[in-house]
Amino acid sequence: MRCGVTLVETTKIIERVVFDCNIFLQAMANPAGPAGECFQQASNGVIRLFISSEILSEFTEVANRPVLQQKLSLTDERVNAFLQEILGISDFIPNVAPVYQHPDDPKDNIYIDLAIATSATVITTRDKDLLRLMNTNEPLGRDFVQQFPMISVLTPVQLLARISSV
Amino acid sequence: MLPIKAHYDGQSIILDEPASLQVGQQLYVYVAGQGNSQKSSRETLNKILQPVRDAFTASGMTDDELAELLEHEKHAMRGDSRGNN
Repeated sequence: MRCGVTLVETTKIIERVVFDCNIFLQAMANPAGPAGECFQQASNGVIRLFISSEILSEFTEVANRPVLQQKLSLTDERVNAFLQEILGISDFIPNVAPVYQHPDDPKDNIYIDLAIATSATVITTRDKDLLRLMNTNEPLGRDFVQQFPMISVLTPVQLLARISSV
Repeated sequence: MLPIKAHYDGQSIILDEPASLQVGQQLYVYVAGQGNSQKSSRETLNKILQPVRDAFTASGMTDDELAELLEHEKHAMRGDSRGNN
């Protein structure tokens, strides 16, 4: 130790995670909420975050919706600044092989394909179609869990609970 | 290599590239540089995003309502892009 610097510990990465684009937008608008806290955990290195060009595109397209621009005062400068922050704390995967086909919403494939490509253990989302993949009372969920037992689809609150339980 | 957490000047700093510590460079100089840089960029980002956060607060929405709005807009955007294809 010297001049007030203390090396405290090595940060143990607890989970490898893919965020739905809306988790980023929610964290951007409300850093105090569960999505904001998940983003902070990625920033702190507690979770290792993966991102693809497809997810970044979806983030930008949703941020460009007129309703959101108006309600959240989103501008190109603000969105781009947060985009840079996302890139700064994530591992960018440029080419992700298409593997999974979601029967209800194929646009969700980008999240599952990235999780498969990076051996991520968690997809964090509030999307009902993605969360349904964990419902083993339905054939969709049963098939998914059987095919990809290492991937959990969790809400931000569930991810935070999982991190804190380790 | 695992990231290293350090405390400097009352803040937590994640040193995720300790390999960039140059030979002969004193650790406290390196950590201070990293810490000041991270603090400065975080402050700049917070300043840029403050109007977004103020707009959310002013909207009166809860965090759950914000999540629902974002999901609604995401699916509307996907529907629009399907229509355009």
